[in-house]
Amino acid sequence: MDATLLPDHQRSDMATDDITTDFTVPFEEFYRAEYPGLVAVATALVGSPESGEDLVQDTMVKSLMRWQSVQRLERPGGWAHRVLLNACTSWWRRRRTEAKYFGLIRRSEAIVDGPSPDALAFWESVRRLPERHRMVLVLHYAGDRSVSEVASILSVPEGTVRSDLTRARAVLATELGA
Amino acid sequence: MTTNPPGASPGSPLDDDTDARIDALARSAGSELRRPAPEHGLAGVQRAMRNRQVVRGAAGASAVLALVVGGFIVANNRDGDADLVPADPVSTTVEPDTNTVPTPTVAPTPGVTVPEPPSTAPREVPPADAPSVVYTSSESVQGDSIEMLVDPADGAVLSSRPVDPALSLGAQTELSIHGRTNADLGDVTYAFREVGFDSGTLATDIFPDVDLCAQNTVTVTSPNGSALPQRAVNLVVSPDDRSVATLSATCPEPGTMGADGMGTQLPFEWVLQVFDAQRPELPGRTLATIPSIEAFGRLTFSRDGRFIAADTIAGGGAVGYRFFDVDAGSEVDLGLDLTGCRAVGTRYATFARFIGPWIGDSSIALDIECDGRSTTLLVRDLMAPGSDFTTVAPTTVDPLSVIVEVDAAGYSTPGDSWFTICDIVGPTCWIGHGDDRLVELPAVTTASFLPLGYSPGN
Repeated sequence: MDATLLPDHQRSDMATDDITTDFTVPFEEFYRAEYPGLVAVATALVGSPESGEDLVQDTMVKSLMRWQSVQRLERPGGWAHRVLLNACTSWWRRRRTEAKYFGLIRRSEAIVDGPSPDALAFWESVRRLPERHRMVLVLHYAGDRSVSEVASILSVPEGTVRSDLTRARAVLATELGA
Repeated sequence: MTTNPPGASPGSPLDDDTDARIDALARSAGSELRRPAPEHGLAGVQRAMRNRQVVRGAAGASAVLALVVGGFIVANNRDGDADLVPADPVSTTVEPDTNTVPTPTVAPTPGVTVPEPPSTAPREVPPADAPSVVYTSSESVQGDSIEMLVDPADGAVLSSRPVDPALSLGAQTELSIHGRTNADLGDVTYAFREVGFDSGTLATDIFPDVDLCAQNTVTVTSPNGSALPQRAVNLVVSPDDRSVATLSATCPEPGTMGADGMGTQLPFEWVLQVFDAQRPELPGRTLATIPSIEAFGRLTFSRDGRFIAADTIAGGGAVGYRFFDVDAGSEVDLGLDLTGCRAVGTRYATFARFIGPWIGDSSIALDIECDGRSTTLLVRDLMAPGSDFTTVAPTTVDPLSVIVEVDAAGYSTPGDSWFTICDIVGPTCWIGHGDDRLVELPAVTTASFLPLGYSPGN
């Protein structure tokens, strides 16, 4: 838990809160509101809708397990996005290693009613960007997060997010021949 | 959400139409990925949570047993979000003893990774400048994680405790002197403030601060005025208060862009200048003039104030540094062929961190990642040519999965560096000292010379 997302007087609560299911109503709202953005971010980062859904499911479980604390954050969705970004990074690193030794990465996933070929090609290019550009672009365009929200999630200034977006679009324009 | 491409400015080598097309494509591609929550998804989340609570319960029961034997429990699930049940860090402190290396006791529950005990290699007498402890973790560190304090000489676990984010932040803050953007030097003060972007249509008197080149506001208070640019994309004050450097551009005036809301984007040049921090009224010296297509991140000073490192993201997306000698007024040629490589900083330099590549007074520590090759750590004192120390990570994992760190507190010369290398996929970390043999820490994902627990953004 990044303490900066938590009001000062609540920071110490995170480690001691009991796990409870007494908050299922607001959690359900959180779940339904955040799911679309989270699954888009995960799919964009890992390139597989199925794996993306698994990672979001896992993120939601973590959110519910800590819901007593998470719901008090200024931006519970921001916290969930951070958890998801870490999970995606770990997933990708595991896959790289697996691919190196076992050739397990498939060039394309079988997708039914999935994104269009243009969208897949776009996100494939995004995944080749440097890490922060990739994260910023995915959170903004796939996660539909505003610049200020992206800045908060990544703990960088808004100006940095804006310049990263500009530079990332420039690289993508070259990559995609736009 | 914004309706215009955020950040549209002359900082981009794109024309407006292309930038708008990419923005539209990105929005469309993003919307295609968003799907509503599945109908029964919430029930699945609740079911999975209950299962994990059962796992927690099992781990907690094992903790009681572990306390009896004076060990500790680390229950780490598959993705690094560990359930950790610490024993009292005081009562379970284990004196370093090669014959009684504590063995973690692990709850035998599904989905739980069993960490291996640390290296039991014969202990050596540590050098006098050895760090007293290395902070490690077997999981992806979060605010509720446990860190294990290990002996750098042999990897023996000395104690374990919950991470303290405040302690961790305090230890890292000391390093931020390399990238200081605000400073009070007595009669002279420097302030650097982030501002927004010019939309191209807003009148200057409404948003007077916006800047077309994504520059921020530089404020200098000085009895004799200031020759610094009023706006800069980056500013840094040297640790010795001697110099202040700016990276800035002469941009079109705010509010003067085209009627389409974005205007015509023209290439421009960044100018890297250095000024006398104590006498900001004096003209600066230009160290470099750089085309706008080469995007820059942070500026950082070496601790002695002699050198500047500029993060650079070249047109092709390559990542690295350019170095400048303040006294000589010129760029430093590292003499390295980094074709096909990324040369990034170490743990506290990457991704929203602040240290840059700097270590010691004038040395750099670079994590060099080249396609198809293992990560190489290079430590070089820019004031002592030929002083290079290099070591290759003992892992063939993708270099992106390798994190290196050099001990800042005990650093003296490149060849005497204490360092850690972590393969976060393995996971395995190693502690090294110069060319001495490495101490291996199996099942450890993080090994740092600073307390763990605070991680801004990554």
